[in-house]
Amino acid sequence: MTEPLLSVRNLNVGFGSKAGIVQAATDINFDIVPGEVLAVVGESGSGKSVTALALMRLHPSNTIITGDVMFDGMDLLELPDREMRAVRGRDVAMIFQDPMTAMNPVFSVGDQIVETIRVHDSSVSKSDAWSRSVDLLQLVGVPEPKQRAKQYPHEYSGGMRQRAMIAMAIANQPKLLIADEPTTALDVTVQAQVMEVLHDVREETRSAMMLITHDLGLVAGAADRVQVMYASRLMESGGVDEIFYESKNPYTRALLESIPDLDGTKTELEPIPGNPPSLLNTPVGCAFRPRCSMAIDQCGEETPKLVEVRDGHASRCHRIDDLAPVGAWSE
Amino acid sequence: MTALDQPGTGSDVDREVGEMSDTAAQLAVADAEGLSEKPKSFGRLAWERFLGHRLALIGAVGLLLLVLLFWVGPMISEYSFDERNVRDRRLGPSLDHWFGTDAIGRDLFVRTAQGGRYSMFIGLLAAGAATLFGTMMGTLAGFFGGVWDAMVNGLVNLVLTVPAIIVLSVFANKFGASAIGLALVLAGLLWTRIARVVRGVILSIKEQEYIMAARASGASNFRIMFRHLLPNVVGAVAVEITLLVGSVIVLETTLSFLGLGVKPPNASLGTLVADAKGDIDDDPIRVLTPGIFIVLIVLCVNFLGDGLRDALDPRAKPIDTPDAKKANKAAEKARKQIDKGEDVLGSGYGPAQQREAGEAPVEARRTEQP
Repeated sequence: MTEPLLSVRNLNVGFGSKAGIVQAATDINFDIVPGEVLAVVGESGSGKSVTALALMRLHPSNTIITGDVMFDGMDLLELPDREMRAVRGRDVAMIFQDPMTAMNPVFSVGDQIVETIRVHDSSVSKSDAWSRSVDLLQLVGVPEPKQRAKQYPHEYSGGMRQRAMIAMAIANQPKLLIADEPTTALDVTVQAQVMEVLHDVREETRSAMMLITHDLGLVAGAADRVQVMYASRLMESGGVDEIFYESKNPYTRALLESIPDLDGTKTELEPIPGNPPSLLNTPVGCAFRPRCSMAIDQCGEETPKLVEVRDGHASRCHRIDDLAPVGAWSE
Repeated sequence: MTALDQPGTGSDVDREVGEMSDTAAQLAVADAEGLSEKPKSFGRLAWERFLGHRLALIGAVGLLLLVLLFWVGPMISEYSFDERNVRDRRLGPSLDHWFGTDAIGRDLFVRTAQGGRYSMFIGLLAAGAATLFGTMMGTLAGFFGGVWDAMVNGLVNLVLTVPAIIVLSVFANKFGASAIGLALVLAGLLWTRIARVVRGVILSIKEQEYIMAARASGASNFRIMFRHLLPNVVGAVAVEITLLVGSVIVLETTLSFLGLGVKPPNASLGTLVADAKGDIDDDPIRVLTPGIFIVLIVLCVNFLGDGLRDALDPRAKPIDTPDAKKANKAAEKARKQIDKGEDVLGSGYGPAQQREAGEAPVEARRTEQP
């Protein structure tokens, strides 16, 4: 097996609040190998974005983090600030959810890309950086990149802006891209285009990607491996087919059940009843228990462990063995 | 006329249709031009917005004229500002002495020009220094927060509690003889407003996602402050500067009027008013001239500030640009044509047809937005 590019071990992230500690990510373990796409899926507040921000060390000051994040031989959580800044944007780049707010309104789009390039290599001349940013805009499919580079973010449409964000993220050929819900703020018609751009761009730069999303449809087309999070914990992780067709976790299955079906075989959506639990002073036991159709007494007494079902496929559930066989549940 | 007759409509309707399509075509052309327009640079757009701002233009031209008058004017005059002609005391305006002479026979035009130069120079210098210091303090307070914020706020409050007129009297009296000294004393009292404005702007934008994005791309605190935050402050600060220039000039003239600023034989617009105040009954013009110039300078500077604010806002809509005005005029013309009964929008079923059908004629709706 290839050496992982990113290796996260026992990562815990908590926030201090006046009511106590909010546990936002608990005991997160995962690897990303070079060139791979790992999708992190979960409801709002399940800890996806928090995990990503913790990797980049972009968390607010009331955050408590434990664990190890090894990236390319460096422990990102231990790096001095100066070296961490060199990693950000050069080795690990981030694409934000809302392209409307993630660009500085007072700089032209080209200038912003130039800025990202020159932050890391001030030896690049301004004109070189400019022509590179025009090339980058061309690469992500912005029409008339020469003129478009001179325009300001507010002159771009949402989809174009997200393309520009992608151009900015790949400007330094990062080894890892973290895309935090890159299509959530976009029109449905544009989402597919942006995903395609991301795909093409990764072919070019051979970057690995951590794709954070709550859109399972997006995951099916784009990811190699999937990781499902719920209430700050990993619920299940495995290859994309294993998750979609052989899920060993009631939560994952419930998520898949709640996707609308375009063939029309499913006449009614099946939402997951209830709401995710509070992450403040979480009780012992499986966090999904109150909403789970298969819950038993044991689920309330001890927190299930993440058990490897097969090589590379792990699930957190007391009733893995009792789950209906593949195919039966999806009917 | 029935529906069947319509294909063979009379020349009257034909003409109408022809006119309609003309207007529609004009609109379409204007629209297409708008779309295919090459993107303009920020500077270009700012310039256009500035030019479209009538008050700002008046302010700029006015200031330019004043500068010309104050700097070039005295060169034309044969008198110097401290040259006394005992025989020509208290003269009214004449071809020889444009603004008359004062109580000891000095030419008032030259002295007014000198006073104007002095006031403008101090205004710019003090506003510049106050802006520099205020922006620095506001940025530190807004960006780093915590102890920095507390310290800057404490300092601001301290300055604001200090009785300004007393401090000014003491320090302006001590340093006021030199323009730079006076400007710095004024700046020391006036930077607080800038600091507060800048702090507010920084506080609101530092939480924006693009600042996080800048951080995620590896920018340091320093870089974020200078390259990402400060440019966002420029618009707000530009307005404050001009307001500040105005209030500095007012303050300076007041101080000089009280005898605390400029020392004789130098003149400031304030000392000129002070010199003339004793003769206001006999010779009100000598009081009025420098007073009018004070008002003119401050007014022009404030107009200019208004224009700058609109021009420098990168998110500003292109209202008031010549193009936007043309577009609005075209729309208004079309609305009037509709009201007159022309089918401008080319639906094929316009007022003419409606009249035929016995319906009430349409009228163009006015939007509420300006």
